[in-house]
Amino acid sequence: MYADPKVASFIDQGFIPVRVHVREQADAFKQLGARYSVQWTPAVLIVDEGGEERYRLEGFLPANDFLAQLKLGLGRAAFARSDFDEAERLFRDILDAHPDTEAAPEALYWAGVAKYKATGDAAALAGTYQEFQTRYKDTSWATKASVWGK
Amino acid sequence: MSTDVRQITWMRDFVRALSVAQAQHRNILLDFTAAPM
Repeated sequence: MYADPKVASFIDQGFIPVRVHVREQADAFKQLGARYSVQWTPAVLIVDEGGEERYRLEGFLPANDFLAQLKLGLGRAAFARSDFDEAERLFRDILDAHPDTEAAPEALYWAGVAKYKATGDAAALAGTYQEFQTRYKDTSWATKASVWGK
Repeated sequence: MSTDVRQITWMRDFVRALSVAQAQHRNILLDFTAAPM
């Protein structure tokens, strides 16, 4: 698992990695699995320094998609601590580095929200609506952003 | 030959990992797996 060097490097640099094997570490799984309501594997949770879950991935993903989802999770974690500039940077990085993943339209949506939260300027939302007119138009995230164009 | 392949050093103790995360202001990647280790 995580044999891809880019994924391994990103995890190593960006996180404190903790792995719990559901059978081989049954006691740890019983405790942590209950704490975070884990009922299926693989389950990868991004947990902030206060122990709060900020993002969850369940099921296998290829390396590029997995990396994009990890960045999405880091972006949501930054958003949750009101670090909106960092959140927008992470979301924009997904659009630059992983534009063809399912994470990308979600990242575009949240990049707009993060910019709006950072600036208070509704133009950030209108601009995101406009961007959805040129890409990811047929996604649920474009639908969610459609109210920003009115 | 150089390589950029990095091995992940997984921690097994969540409480200790939480302390490290707090000290370094980093997030924890908590990976639940049933795959062979």
